[in-house]
Amino acid sequence: MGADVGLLEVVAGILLVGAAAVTLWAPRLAAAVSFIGFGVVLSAFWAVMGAPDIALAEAALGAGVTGALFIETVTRHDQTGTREGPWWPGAVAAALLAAALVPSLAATAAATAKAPTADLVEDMLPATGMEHPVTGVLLAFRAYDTLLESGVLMMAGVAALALRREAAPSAPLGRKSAAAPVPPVLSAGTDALVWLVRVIAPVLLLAGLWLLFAGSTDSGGAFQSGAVLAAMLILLRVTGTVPDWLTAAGSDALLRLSLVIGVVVFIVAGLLGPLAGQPWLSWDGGWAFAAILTVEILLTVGIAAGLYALFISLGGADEVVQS
Amino acid sequence: MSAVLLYLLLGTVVTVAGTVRMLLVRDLMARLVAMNLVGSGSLLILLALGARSEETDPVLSALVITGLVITVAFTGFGAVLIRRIEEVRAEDAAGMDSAAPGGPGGPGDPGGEQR
Repeated sequence: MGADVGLLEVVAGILLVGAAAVTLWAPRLAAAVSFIGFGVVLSAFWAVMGAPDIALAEAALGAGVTGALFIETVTRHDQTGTREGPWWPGAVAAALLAAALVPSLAATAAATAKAPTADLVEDMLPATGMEHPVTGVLLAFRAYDTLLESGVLMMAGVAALALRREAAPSAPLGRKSAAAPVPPVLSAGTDALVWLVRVIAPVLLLAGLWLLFAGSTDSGGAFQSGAVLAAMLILLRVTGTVPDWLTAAGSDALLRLSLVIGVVVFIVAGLLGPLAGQPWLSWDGGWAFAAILTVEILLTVGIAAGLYALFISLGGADEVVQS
Repeated sequence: MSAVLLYLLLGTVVTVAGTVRMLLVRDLMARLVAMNLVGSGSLLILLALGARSEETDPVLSALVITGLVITVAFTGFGAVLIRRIEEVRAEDAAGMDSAAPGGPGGPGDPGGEQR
């Protein structure tokens, strides 16, 4: 990757910095929209840097789901009252931070090193039954990190659902707040959007499942797949085309079960190692691939449920379409 | 200039701008957005260091994906918290409105100074 900078990279870099500047200094709605643009440019950068897995995750998680969360937050509140302080503390702090960071990073970049871990991963990968190094690292070599990370997402979903429940004991699905009136998010062109979502939802489902199973041999995996599936659910919910079994009375129980099942099965699968006389969270031998695939499928369910739980905790979009 | 140096530079610019904005802005939503940009910028620096070798380091790639997931988790929870905080503030302001005609922005505005 010691290649020189081409024109394309310079243009993309200007785009990235411009999108970041708009995201940071624009009013709320413009910032949220610009954040999605920033995510798209950044995912192009990940792809150029030789990390298609991160590009997929950035597009689905960073730009997609986070963008939906920001848009949902800003369109439900009309508080744009950002009171600005004086400009000079920011300028001084930026200059100091940049002065500290740039020389050390430049020195590090000059020392081109062969990543020692890449060879290790290459050598150990066949033992996991996985062919794609990033998936192997996530689910076999650094399984502990992945478990804790899924736990963080699960806890965030649980905490968000708890806040939502406390706020609305009488209305389990969304609610109308007296203090913050809901603006008509989907006033014009709703029909076209509903039609579009009906068409692309099956495609998103297929894409999510493909990302999940492609993860063992190619770019993709549980996190990208879960994010795409959560995006599908969010789109269905925003347009009011959620299937009946997702809005029925039992759907909250289903959501809670999906939220925890990934982490629970991960822990149980991790205990298989000690039973076979091996360390905790280690999969070896013939059943390594089966164990990792099972964990990955249920982890995907848990991730999709966690992201969806975060979104619906922001307030139901059900009543918007109906009104 | 090598490509890695450009990535490092971009990561630094985004991180520094995001940090400064996050520390100085009063609007909670803008703070959360800035926090996301700090995360993105530092992940860019991280992967730029992993992209120095011929093949991008899979361990660092996995670490960056972990970072993205953690970011979306805290962002979602933060957004829910912001929503609740602003609901309470709006209710307080409405209460002040009906109690005293001065309303928000007056000397008794409860949430104004803490923002």
